[in-house]
Amino acid sequence: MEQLVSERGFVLRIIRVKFIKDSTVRFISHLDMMKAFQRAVRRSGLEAEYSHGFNPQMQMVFGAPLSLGFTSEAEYADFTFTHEYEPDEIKSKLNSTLPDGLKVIDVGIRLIKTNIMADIKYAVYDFRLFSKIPLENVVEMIMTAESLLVEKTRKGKTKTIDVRPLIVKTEAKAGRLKILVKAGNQNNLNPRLLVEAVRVNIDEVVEGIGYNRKGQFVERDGKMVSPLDIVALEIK
Amino acid sequence: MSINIPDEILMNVEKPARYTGGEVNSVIKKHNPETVKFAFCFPDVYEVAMSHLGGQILYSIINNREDALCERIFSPWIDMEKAMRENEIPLFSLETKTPVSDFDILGFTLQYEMSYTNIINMLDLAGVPIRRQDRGEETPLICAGGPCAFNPEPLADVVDFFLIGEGEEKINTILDIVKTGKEGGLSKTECLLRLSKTEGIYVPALQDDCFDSTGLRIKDTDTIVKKVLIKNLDEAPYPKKPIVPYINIVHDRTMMEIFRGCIRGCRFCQAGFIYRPVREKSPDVLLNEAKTKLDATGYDDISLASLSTSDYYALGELTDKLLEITESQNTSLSLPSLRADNFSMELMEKVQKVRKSGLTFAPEAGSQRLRDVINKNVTEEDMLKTAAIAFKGGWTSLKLYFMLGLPTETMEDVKGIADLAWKIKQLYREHGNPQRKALTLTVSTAFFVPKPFTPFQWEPQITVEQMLARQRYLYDLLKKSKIKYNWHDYKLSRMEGIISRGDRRIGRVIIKAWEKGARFDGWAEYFDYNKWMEAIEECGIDADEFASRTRPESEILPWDFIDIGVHKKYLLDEKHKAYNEITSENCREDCLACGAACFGTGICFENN
Repeated sequence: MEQLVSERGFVLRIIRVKFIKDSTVRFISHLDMMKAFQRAVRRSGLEAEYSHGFNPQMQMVFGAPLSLGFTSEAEYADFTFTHEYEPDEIKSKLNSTLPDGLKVIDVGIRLIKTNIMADIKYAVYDFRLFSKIPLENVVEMIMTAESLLVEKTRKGKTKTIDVRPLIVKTEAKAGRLKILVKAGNQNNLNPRLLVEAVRVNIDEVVEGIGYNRKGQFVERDGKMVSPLDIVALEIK
Repeated sequence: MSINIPDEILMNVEKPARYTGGEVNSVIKKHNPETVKFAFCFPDVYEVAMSHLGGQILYSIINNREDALCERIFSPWIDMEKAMRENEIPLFSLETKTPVSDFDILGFTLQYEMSYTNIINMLDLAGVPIRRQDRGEETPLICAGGPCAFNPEPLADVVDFFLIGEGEEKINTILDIVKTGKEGGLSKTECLLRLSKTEGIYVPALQDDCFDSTGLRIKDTDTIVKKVLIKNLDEAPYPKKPIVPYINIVHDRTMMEIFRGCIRGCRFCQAGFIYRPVREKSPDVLLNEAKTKLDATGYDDISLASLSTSDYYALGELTDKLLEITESQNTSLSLPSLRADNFSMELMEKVQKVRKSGLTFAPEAGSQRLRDVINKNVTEEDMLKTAAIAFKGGWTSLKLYFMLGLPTETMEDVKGIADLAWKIKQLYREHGNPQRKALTLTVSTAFFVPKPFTPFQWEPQITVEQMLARQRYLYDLLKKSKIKYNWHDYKLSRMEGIISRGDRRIGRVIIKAWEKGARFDGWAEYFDYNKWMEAIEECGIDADEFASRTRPESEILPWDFIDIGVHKKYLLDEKHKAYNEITSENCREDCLACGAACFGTGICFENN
């Protein structure tokens, strides 16, 4: 294994962690959660790499941001440490200092250059959907629609976008909708926007609650792969 | 009983994490019937409340007891209050979402007068009757402490008992008495009687017969309440595991209190008198504290807290040792409240190694004459010298704080502010690097508010017309020199002036203003002067009697029954010296026998 070395001569190890964000911390924003991780790393005694600027920042990168109010079973982050810690040590030390509601469940060593934020391509969500028409029909209408136009307002600007190309798969089960959608830097679909699109195009009384992210995936050779799969960590 | 706050509410309020708790180092204890349940109440929004060091100290002391618990309750922001009222959600604690009315004691901290309507509002949201006379046995005991409790009368109809002085000294005694009361089934009145025998505790109900139905004093009291304090700060408890908020708060860092009190004795400054005598922590104790707190929080910023950092007796030693820790941990160190006079190049260089923030001077007055009047012993020469060093060292931002309306102030003194700012601006051309970066110079003024227990407690506050005239004059002068000017709202200062030296009659005004919708008065966007003026009128109060009247020296002041250790005679002497433009030595130079030595500790015993 080739060693990574920092500007200051430390041997670096980039670690990818998979963690859950449960309902107790669902109202902690993405930025605040990053800060909570940073402080947990500092409390853990694990030595992290910092940027070399005037205002040193801990080197860490998170996957696709999770909306406020969502829970997740599959969040990812990459951390750079100045020691070759074993993955298990990282997992147990972080879990002893992370706040309740955030828990590391898997850890791997990242060898490729691409960080998690740039690499994520898909996400799976599930949530309860209340609708007038049966959920199975909603699913069918989503999947057979040629386009699903919806207005999106961001920073005061409203634009119309078609969410249909961002939806890969949807299924209904026991009052819940499970969706596989595009995610990441380039194409990203927030399930709330999908629900809004359904409300505008299919069923005006539809309401979604209890949003949960079930998974995030990267793409290798046209296939969806877990970010902790050896293929994802070692081969671009 | 725990309250469930629906997601629909949290999704639609600003910063829902203000209400969800669960922060690192917050303490969740089981609510056993025998446990004494204390709610620490801060009458402002989460970000302000969580920046308060005293709250963290009390929280850790109480939660370290097996027989007691402490949870936090803060003012919900306007949007959350609306949602709570619409959905009939009572005020709840952050830790276990327990309704406030289920606690045994509510302890409010009084940090500034303009938070008083928030106290009323919190009680109302909790379903607790506002006036103590309307509260039965089943409601919690309401207590209050903090700097504004030194004049307790404006809240005497609301609060069951006040603790005058430093809370951590007597909190355990209070809990013990309440615990005995719970176990023995004592009535509230009996509990309050026992509490009233504790040093530092004032029970307003015991004085009710001294007042008429409007709250006007009709009879003198022979009760004296003496403030309590921590004798030895090195042995005082500090929070070993401070709570680490998720959201950004005002002071989002590890705070280290290096000493209490202030040696200076600036004549307008209440803190400089009520916290006497100066008591310092030793550098070794502080170093341990810093390590413990950094390890427990993961903060990457540490700040020293005191009334005047440069007056700490071992500042060099402490900063050297702290920098050893911070530099190896990618942590920064900030030193606020530095004085412009003994601010050394060395110290500045040291801090600079980690992060260079803006400089702040608080000369408070624009002329040397007026600085002598207020006993702010800093000279123009000192300030210019320090500014020159700072500019040479690469600093590019400087803020100047002043007060308008100080006793004896003339327009000439106001002009002095603009003159000083102009000189500093010129200095930057000489010593700074204007080609690389322009100087950011800001002048800020607040209006002087006379406070109880200061040599200026007898002084009138200037009138609203005078306030506007002086502000306008300074504005024009600074505009000509192209210097940025920030000013305080004169209406807010006027209200503060009315309340801070108020009595029980002012308490009625506060409740009336709240009934009219006043809350978050300390926030410019919510402060509504008209509501207050209406309340004053409806209560039949003459605002000038409280704010802009010269009080005769023989007058019995509403707070005279409180003994801060400093003699009233000393405050009078200082007032007379002010009018003669005579400064006083600071406590380290010479002891002027103010009276604080009666506590048998601190700086009073160090120099002899």
